[in-house]
Amino acid sequence: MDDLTKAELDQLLGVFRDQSLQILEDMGHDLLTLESSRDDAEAMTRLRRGAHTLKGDSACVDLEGVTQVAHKIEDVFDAVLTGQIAFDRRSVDVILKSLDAVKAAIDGAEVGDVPAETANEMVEALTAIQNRDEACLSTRSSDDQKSEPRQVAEASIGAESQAVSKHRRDYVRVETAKIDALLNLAGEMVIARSVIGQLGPEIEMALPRNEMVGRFSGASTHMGKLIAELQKSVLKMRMVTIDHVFRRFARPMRELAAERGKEVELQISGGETELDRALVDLLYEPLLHLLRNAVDHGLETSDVRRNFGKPAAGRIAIRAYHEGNHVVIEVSDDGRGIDPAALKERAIEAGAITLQDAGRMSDEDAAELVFIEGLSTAKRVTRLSGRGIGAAAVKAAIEQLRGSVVVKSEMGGGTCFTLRMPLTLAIIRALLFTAAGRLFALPLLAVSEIARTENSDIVHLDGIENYRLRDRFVSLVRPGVVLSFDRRKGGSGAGLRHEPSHFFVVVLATGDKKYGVVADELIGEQELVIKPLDSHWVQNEALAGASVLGDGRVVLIMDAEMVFRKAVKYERGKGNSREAYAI
Amino acid sequence: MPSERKKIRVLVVDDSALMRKLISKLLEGDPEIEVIATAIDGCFALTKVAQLKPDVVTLDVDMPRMDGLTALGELVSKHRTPVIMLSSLTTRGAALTMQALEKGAVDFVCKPSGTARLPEMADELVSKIKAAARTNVAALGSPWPAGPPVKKKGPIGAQGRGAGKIVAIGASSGGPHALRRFLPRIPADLDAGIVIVQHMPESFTSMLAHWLNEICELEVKEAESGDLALPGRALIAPGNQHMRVRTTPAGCQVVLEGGAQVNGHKPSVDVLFRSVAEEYGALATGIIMTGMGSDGAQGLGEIKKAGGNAVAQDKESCAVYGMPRIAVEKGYANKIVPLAEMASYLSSEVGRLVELENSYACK
Repeated sequence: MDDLTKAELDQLLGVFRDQSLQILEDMGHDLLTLESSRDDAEAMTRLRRGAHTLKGDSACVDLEGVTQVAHKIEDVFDAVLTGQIAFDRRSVDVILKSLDAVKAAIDGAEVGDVPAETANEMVEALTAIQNRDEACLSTRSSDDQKSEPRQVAEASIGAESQAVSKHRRDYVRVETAKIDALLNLAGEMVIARSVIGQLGPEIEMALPRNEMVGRFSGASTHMGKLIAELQKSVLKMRMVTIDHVFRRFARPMRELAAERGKEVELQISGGETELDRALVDLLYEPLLHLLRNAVDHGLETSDVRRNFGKPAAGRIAIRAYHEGNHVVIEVSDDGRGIDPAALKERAIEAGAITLQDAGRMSDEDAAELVFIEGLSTAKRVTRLSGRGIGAAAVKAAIEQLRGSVVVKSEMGGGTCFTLRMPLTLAIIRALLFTAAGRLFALPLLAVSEIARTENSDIVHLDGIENYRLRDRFVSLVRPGVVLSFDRRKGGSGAGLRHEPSHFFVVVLATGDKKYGVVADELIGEQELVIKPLDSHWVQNEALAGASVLGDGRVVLIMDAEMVFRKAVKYERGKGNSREAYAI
Repeated sequence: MPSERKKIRVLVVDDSALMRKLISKLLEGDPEIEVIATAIDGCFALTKVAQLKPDVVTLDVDMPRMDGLTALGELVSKHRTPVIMLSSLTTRGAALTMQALEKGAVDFVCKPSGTARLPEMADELVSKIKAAARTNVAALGSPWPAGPPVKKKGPIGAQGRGAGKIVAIGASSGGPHALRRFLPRIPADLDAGIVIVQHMPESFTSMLAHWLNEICELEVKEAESGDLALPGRALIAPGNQHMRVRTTPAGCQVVLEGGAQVNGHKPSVDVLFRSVAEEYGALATGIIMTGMGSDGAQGLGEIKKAGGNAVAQDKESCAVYGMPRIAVEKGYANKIVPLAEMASYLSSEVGRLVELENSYACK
């Protein structure tokens, strides 16, 4: 064999990076598990194997620094497993630090090595752990015991998440892209099948009383069922357990708790809940934000907690479960809760609500004000969670993923954020309708009701069209206008030129807002495979994607939340007030 | 051999994606080898072996769910598949490798320690796979001499016997198994000390010595500088050091030294054989055994030239007929012996030397 070419080496390095990052993450997780239950031999063995693989692999691709560090870590676990040394918190710290050094080196734009100096430093620190003799160790660990009550930086992982990691099943690793290609094909088959389905009645017309027609439509129906099954199975393949996200929290939480000098107990449950792979990574940041907020703003210090008769360690729980077509994730703490009065005050100051609004607002609604940008009752700005922007950013991110977030809080009792996410991002059940001569779809989940109406039912409030829905008015959005199909034709928003006299108002509920979309004609409801729009459309954030129907027609799928925002922006541009929209 | 050559179908088992990729890559360059599948742990490996019936399996040791040694047991006993272990260059790796050889692994290859070593590793792996494909696994699993050695005698040369003769053995690929069949059959009262070079990395040689010592009547140990190669004792050159011999009043003493690789090896068989030829001349016996390359052939020639007995293992019993082939082709060997007869041949030959020595003494 000849020497490796540059391309081959790069490819190997790519494999090395992917695999090693996974190993590092698993090792970090196992280390924290060990911290709470020190004699988990299985975790130890996994850790040693992880270090072993890292050592062997890095040696292969000439990353000497990584090899040295990994080798030393392996030695430490060898020593632990053979009973030569005991495992304690100090070891966790040192090993975590070494793993970080490795991660920092290999996770750059190019896979790099741990600098010699860092490697030596790490090897030295690890050697110190390895060479601790028993006598010295026992005095140290008794020191540990004594300082335990003052040691306030502890984030332990709930027992349930360990249980999850033990139930390992058989896996085959498949690239996500391959599954997505399969999903795409399944989607195309759905479309192809519906073409066949639509042919059925036509064939029947053309060949009346031909017994083949019956057989044809029977076969077509059967095929439809099979394809639906196929699609469902492929979607399932895209599912991963949410544990993938959850397990990444233990580490930063531990660090944050230590930094803040707060005692934090992180309880994780429902890690086995499955959701779309695409969501998993996107959920990490928002959830981490909420967790950090909980530590920073939610939990009191141990002293304060004792005064209130609460346990010294603050409890932060993160829980996931399925509910219908949704994954629900709750992030709750047992801290001080949100002060509605203070929040209202700030909201008034910031001009987000009026004094009258505040007076009408229940405490429950007031808690939701945390989602308004720039509002926060926290007195202190911290490095990690920042201030104020937190909850608003989370809400935006979650809604971007077609999810929703609500908050419940009790003064002194704690706060709970509840996220509801769709199971998958790839398929939605949608309401199809036409507007401005085009075919549109809206996620059925966002539709709260549909009303048949006529022009005379429309009222103009502050220059904005409104429809009276029982006891309240909902602002109306005309898709053609908002998506700027109509605008250039001169209709300045009123858009009443040659509208049919009867039309429909599709009432949407997104977050806490309700508004109506004007539809000329309703087509029906259907499951749509969302396809991303190409760059020509990308600028239009009000569209979530497109789909092709059985008859070949293209349907534009609107993003319920973004359509509304775009409408607000549009009206604002015309000088109309925002309040008129925010009902 | 049939004229139409079928490719050797290989299953690569390793929990590291990088290793799977790399090993497959190293093997794909050889036209006679085809990697038919990979597996990430022992469980998958067993399933795939049952389905695909590969000719050779390369097996990692440290894997989740089912480790290499456990899988190896079944691969050997149930499927009779030739297995090559992928070992790490550590003490633990060495110990596990010896266990694996004991359990019936055909051979082992050390995981590469850098891209510069890859071509070398590729050559080694390819030839070991080819050798493994021809191996009768059933024969490897059963240790030849049943039961432990009768009695450990230890070196008896201090009593003044046979200080004048030496047997030098050189082996490479396939060597551990060959030695495992050969050395236990040598009686402890053989009237000559034994020195051995087996191409192996550091820490593997001491494990090898330990492993052989358990099953031999002879005392087998990894050589330390200054050790005496007395009758009843076999000294194995440690990895990464050359071994020479010199005659002293107390008997044959081994000298270890660093320095450059010779023929790409350290220890090198040539280095040992040459010093044996120089120091012992007609009273030297050199045995060149299974292995890749040509190390030792030249040295064997020098033993022959010095009047000593130059022996080559025969082609049929060699896992890799490389080093002995060169020696035979160049006419450096004066005797070709099958592995199974090697011990008895050696005993009778040493006996002949003793007579020779005695006859010198009488004159």
